[in-house]
Amino acid sequence: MTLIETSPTLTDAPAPTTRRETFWAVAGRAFWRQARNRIATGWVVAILLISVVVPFLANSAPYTAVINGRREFPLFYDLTRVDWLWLIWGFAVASFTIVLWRTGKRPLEIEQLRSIRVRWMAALGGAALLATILIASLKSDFLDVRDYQAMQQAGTVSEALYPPLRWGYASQEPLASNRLFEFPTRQHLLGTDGNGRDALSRLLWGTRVVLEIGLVSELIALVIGVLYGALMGYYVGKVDILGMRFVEVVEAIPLLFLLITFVAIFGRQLFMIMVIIGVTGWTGIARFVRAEFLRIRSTDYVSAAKAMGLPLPNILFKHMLPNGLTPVIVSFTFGVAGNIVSESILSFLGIGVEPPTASWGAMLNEAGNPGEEFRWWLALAPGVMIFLTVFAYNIMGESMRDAIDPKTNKVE
Amino acid sequence: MDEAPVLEISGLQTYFYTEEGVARAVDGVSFSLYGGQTVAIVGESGCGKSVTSMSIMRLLQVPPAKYVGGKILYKGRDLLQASEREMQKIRGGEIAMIFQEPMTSLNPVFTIGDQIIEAIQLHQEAARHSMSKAVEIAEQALRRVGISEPRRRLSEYPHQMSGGMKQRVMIAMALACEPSVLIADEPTTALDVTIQAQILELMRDLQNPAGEGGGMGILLITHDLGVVAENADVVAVMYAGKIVEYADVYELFGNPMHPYTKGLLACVPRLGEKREDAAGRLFTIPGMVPSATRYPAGCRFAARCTECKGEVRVKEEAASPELREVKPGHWVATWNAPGYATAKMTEPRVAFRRPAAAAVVTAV
Repeated sequence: MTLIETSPTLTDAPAPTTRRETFWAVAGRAFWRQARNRIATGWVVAILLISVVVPFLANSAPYTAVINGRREFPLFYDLTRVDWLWLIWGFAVASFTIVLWRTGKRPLEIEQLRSIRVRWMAALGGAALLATILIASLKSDFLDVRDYQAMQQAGTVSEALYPPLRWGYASQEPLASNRLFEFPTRQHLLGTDGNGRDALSRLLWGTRVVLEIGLVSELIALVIGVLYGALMGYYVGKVDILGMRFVEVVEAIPLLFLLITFVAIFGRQLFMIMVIIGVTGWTGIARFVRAEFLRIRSTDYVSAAKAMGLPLPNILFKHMLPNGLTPVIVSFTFGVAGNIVSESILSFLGIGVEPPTASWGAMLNEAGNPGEEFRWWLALAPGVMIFLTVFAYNIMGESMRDAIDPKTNKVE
Repeated sequence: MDEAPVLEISGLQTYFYTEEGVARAVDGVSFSLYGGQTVAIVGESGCGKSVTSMSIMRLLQVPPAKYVGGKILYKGRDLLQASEREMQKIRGGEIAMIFQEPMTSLNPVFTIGDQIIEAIQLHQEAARHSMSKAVEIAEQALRRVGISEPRRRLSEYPHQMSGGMKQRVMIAMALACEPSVLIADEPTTALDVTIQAQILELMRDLQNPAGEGGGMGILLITHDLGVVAENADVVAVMYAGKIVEYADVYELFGNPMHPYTKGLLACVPRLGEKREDAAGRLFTIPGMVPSATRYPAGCRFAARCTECKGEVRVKEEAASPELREVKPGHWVATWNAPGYATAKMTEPRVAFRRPAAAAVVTAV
């Protein structure tokens, strides 16, 4: 006699057809539902877009013009290597976002979905990397010193098609013409600075430095923090105890003094500033990741993954990390905001980026030196931009924390 | 007995070094598991069942755990001596494990398919470089465990499934890699009763004794005697880190010798039973399981033993009774068992497998 007679296939009714809805999709919808989050995200995306296309928005060189009887394309010819990198990577990221978006909407079989995404990512990433190497090794930056507007008046340039803003970040009004510290006019919507440069153009070009420092140094911090925190959280015990002491040592380093010292000794180098902010700023992320890993390492699915014989890197970064990523994302956005402030402080103190590179902090500095008149209109615009950008990142971080947290996220 | 067991554990000692002292969670456990056989380890919480199974997989954190002594022979190889690299190959590929909580044993951020396929690509040579082959095997595995529309299920997330379904997925995942031994650590405790029966029968169906090497051996960890009676071929009763009785399922239920086993069986309520207790209460074993850090000298069950007589107790103070073969195929560790004094200590091995499609209902 047997007590068990039910056949397993018959009892489980076919599951109702549910939409493919990941945790991230649910959190994403909760995030998107609030207007302030949409505005903040829009602001950050707008800043990103401006950074990518700023050479086409604010440039003293025309898109195209007939110069001395020959049709030329000075703006395209003048694009620097940094401009190209921004364009290439901007394009790659944008296309991949679209691919993710589109494939996420279609009901695809699992292996199709994977292979489509992986193929696109490989293709775009590979192409962008190849282009980066080519550009870095082949092209050299060309400094265009021609004043097209003067040439047009002189008659050597005709049929010129200019960008909306006819001033590059470094192009100056002739110094002789007494157009320094000009109050906003129709020609210079935000006025001019002490070197006769258009403040609006510099404001737009300034987005680049802000994002370069904000994102690159935070990415450096992210990589170090995640690796370090993951290992400490996984190997508890002595590794953890010693590791945390090292974190405290790094936390004790005063960032601004380190940067000032570095700049005093080695001069201003944008890349080194990024690296310094990155290698001192990872401790918060490491703490978060460690705490998450301490929690996750004792979960059943990690035991199950171990019992499945998965190698350690897979367990750490494939099974544990995605589950512990939420505080990391939040602290990433806060970190970007913090880095933007750090850069502004440095540039304001005059030890940030090398002039004539535009930066909001540097623009604040130019608005008024001690003993001089304070030109409030020059300080207002970059001040507002710094405030809004930092504010937007903070709103995003705050709201992501709420959206991710199931306790505050009242979705269903 | 010519046949060699797939898994043979002899004198396994796993201790935990904690601040309160040394917890002797597993203290000299020996048993063996043959291909196609189901060995059940029974005992109350904290008796070392789970630690035994985790020791076999070497999944315990060292320290605080330490494998102090004994051998775990898998197909003649001592797993306690194997390197971490070798263990990675064995885990999942040779010895698979399913856990108590199907609800939390699947990673919530991946689809079912992602997780099964990852395991398959790791352990199955044929699928290593072929995604479509891996998907095919995964689909078959899901079909074998009775999941409808397996293809579509692959792209579902764990939270879209019920507990029973998840446990099936766990079984499918474990079996997709064709292991020789399956350790099931209370596989049905978290499920409701109707699903429990299905899952257990499923495991039994998939054991496939006709296959090569005599089929898959299942080590069933449970505290549910009903589950044991229905499914096990051989039963090991554990108490305080030791096996106190070891016999095939008919023998154990028909002729229990250790007072602890008798007590466990008496604890099971029966329909229409007339209770001897005046109050009509269900039998309970008096006392508490001793803490693993402070086992008493001598017999660890002495304080709770109902058969313990003064004379025996004196003897028990001196030494802990070891597991002896009091009659062919029946090992027990109590001074009171008939014939214990003259019995020999032998490696506990019972190759018994119950005849197909017959469950023991004598005892429960």
